[in-house]
Formats: sequence, C-alpha cells, structure tokens
Amino acid sequence: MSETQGDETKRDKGKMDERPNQTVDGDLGESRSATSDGDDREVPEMRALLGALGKLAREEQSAMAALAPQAVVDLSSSEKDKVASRILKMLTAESAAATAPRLGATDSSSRLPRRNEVNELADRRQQRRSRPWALTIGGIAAAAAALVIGFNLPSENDEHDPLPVYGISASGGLKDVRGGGSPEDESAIANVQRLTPETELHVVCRPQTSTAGAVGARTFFVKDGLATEIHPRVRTAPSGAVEISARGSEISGAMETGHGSLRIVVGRPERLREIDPRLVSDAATDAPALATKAKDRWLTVPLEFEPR
Amino acid sequence: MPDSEDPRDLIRHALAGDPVKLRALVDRLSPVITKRVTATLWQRNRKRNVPQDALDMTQDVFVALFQSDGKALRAWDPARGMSLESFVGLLAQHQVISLLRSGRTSAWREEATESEEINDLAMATVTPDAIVSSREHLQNLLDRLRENLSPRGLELFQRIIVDEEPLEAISQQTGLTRDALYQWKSRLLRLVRTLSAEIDAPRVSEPSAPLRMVKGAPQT
Repeated sequence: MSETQGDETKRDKGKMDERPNQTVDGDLGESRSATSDGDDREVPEMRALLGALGKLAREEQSAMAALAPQAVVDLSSSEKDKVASRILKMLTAESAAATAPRLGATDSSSRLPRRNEVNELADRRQQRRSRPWALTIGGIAAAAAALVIGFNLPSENDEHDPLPVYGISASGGLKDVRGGGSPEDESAIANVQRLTPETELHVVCRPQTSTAGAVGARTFFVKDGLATEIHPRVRTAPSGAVEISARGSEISGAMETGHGSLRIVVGRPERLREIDPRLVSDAATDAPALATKAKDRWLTVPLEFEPR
Repeated sequence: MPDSEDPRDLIRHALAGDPVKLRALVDRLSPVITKRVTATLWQRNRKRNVPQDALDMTQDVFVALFQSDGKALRAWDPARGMSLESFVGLLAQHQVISLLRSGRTSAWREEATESEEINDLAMATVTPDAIVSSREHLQNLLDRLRENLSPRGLELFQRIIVDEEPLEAISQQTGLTRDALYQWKSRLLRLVRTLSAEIDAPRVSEPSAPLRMVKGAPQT
C-alpha cells in the first residue's frame, strides 16, 4: 500500500473539513475519524493480505494482456443484434413493471413477471437446448393462431375497459438473425428484424387474455427520433389480437439501409385517433407515459434495413 | 459509432430504450467484455469449451449490465478517472465469476452482507499468513471478494488495492474524503475476513452449524 495511516488523516483534517462529507456510496451520514473504525489498518498481517490480493489481481491483468488476439472471438453482428434485443425487452419489462401501480393495474393478468430477466432467459435457453421440439410446436401453434384470427370488429365498445397486457412477435426478417421471429416470446419488444425492401414482415400483437370491445391499431416507423405513420395491412381478431403485414419498402420509404423501429399502438379506436404522432419516439420507455394517458399498449419491432 | 461520442449520453439514450444508441453501446463494449470473459475463463478452467462459453457468457454479462434500469452502468462516473471500458471490464469479471460459481449472473449489490458468527470464527481460526501462503485460497478469496463488491466498490478495489493509486489522488478525483476511503478499506478488510472464513468453514467448523446472515452492513 502506498498510503500511510492515521497521521496523514490528522494532518489533512483541516482541508477535509472544508469539503462536504462525501462518503463511499454516500451511505454514511456522518464523518467518523479513521481511527474510530476499528484496528484493521493497524494490523500489518491484514495489510499484507490485501497486498497479496492486489498482487494476484495484477498477475491476472498481465495474463489477460498477454492473451493472444486470436483466442478472443468477438460477437458477430447478428449476436450483437440479439443482445440488443434482449436488453430492450428487459428494459421495457422493467419500465412497465415500475409504472404498473400508477396505471392502476390490479388484476393478475396484467402483472409482469418479476424474476431475474437474465436468469429467466438462461433457463429458457437451457430448456430450448433440451427440448428442440418446443420451437417446432411453438411455430405450429403460432401459425394456427394466425389462421384463426377473424376480421369482424365487435359491435360494442367500452372505452373504460382497460386492455390486457400485449405481447408482440415478428417474423419474416432475414433468417441469419439468430432467434429472429421466435413466436413464443410475448414481451413488448420483438426480436430485431433485418429487412430488404422486398422482405415481407409479419407482426402479431396478442393480448394475454381476450379483451371485450373494439380494438384497433396505428403503426409508426421511427427513425432518428422522427415518427412517420404508415398504413400496413392490419387485421383484428375478436380476441383483441392484431396482425400487421408490410413490405420493407412500405415501412422505410426511401431509406434503404440503417436502423429504425416499428412502433405499434393497440387501443380503443376513439383513443387511437387522439394520439399525436409527434409524441411517438423510438424510445421504448415513452410507452408508459403515453399509456398512462390513453391506456393503450405500445409495442416495438427493432428493424435493420439492408439493400437488395 | 465513433468513440468520441460522449459515453454518458450513449448510456443515457440506450437506457431510455433508443435501439440505435443501444446497438452502438453494444458495439463499443463488446470487445472489452469478450476479452475479459475469455481471459477469466482461460484462467479458471482450461478444460472448458472457452470460445463457445465466452460467447454465451458475454451475452449474459451484457444483459446483466442493464439490469435494474442499468444500475451498474449508471454507477460509472468519468469524473472519477476510470474509463468506461475499464469500469465495464471490472463488472464483466464480477459477473463471469458469479456465472462460474453458481451458473447465474448475480444481482448488483448495494450493501455487503456479513456473517457475524463466521466473522468471529475467522478472528479465532484463520490467520492472514495462512491465507497468503495458499494460492488456491487466495484465488478463491479474490473471486469471492469481487462477487461481493458493488460496482463502485469494484472500482475502488481496483484503484486502491490493485493499482495502488495514492489515496490523495483518488480523493481528489472522486470527491471522497480520505476518511471515507479509510473507512472503505476497513470494511473491505472485514469482508475479506468474513469471506476467508466462509471458504475455510468446512474445515474448521461443524458442518451442521447454521450460518446466520446479517444484512445492513455499510456498503462496500
């Protein structure tokens, strides 16, 4: 250790008193003298132990610096996409969970899972490894669900009836995106979809429980904070599920490459008309603020566009 | 994405859910996390399929960094003098060690836990000399210590104990008083003793003795 002990503390005492009593992590409300905190720093053996720990850590650093560059394999572009998608899902789930009480969500169907997201994903990954058939069955179930979607809007509309939590899944993106379009994921953000102008994107927004009353959707393409409303093909089922289809060129317009996102709001038709596109951004966390006002459900598909 | 972009803005936008900024942050941090994960795996167990494990763990580490509204990332303050990459490297190592020990990433700590009973045991049966003389014990202790430190505690451990930076310089950069830094070191030593006793416990205590964990110790 390079520092000496209590004498220096006493010598600098006057200078310290001129500064606010900032403490490590701000968790100590009072400034105690160094010598009042026990005798640990007076025990040479303990200082030697810390010194040995520091030396071992430095040896680890040296070994890491000497690691051959070819031994380190960085994530591929698609793996980075997958990481970003997982993080976005987690942030949205956390944000929604944090705002749920303010929205007055009390029924069990609207509660979000509170388990550790990383470990939940790890568990899911492990389950997929051990049950490869699960993906196949999930895909069949998703296809069946898409087939049974109806197209008649219910005649009654109770705008006071809150919508259940919605999940989103997207498919149709280029298949080299690992995990793209996994239909069993029911969070508010879909996996990243890579599109060319010709790629047909399919998005399904499903309520956790069937909802009564009319439901509609508006769709926005958001790029660099600017939202443009688009008009894809939209079909709505009596259960409240919404299916959206659009080609890459219909979504991005003239833009051929780069990132953006599809923001979909599902809600009661009367409320949807009140949404100001200027309030829509590419920040997933703006959804709770908008939802607080309108009780709508905001869902996102991160997009990456590639040339033909 | 140029590295010249203010990383604090990048973090802020990424945590706000901006997919473009988030992807840029992943691009920026991926090399340091991958390297730290790979090196830690090589050092701990050469029998593993290191490249594949490193890819899987790197993704888990990334997600852990953003947990709890990015609490760990928000703990980084460039004014304290450590680069974002160095800071994230420490956090990555913390999580890899947790993954190796328990198969799961660990929640970011806000406060240390202390076992008073074990602490008493440590005072009576484990001597620092004995620990220093055992590299295996020392390595285990270093891993457990990293696992138990908060993001800011990891930063202080690196600067004070590993890099041996003068406390005066750290005090000036961090705004922490020297008094506070000494207190932090004292708490660190107590944590070292506690963890060392836990590592040694099977050999020196009755197996059936319950361990009473007491929360509320000052943050490390």
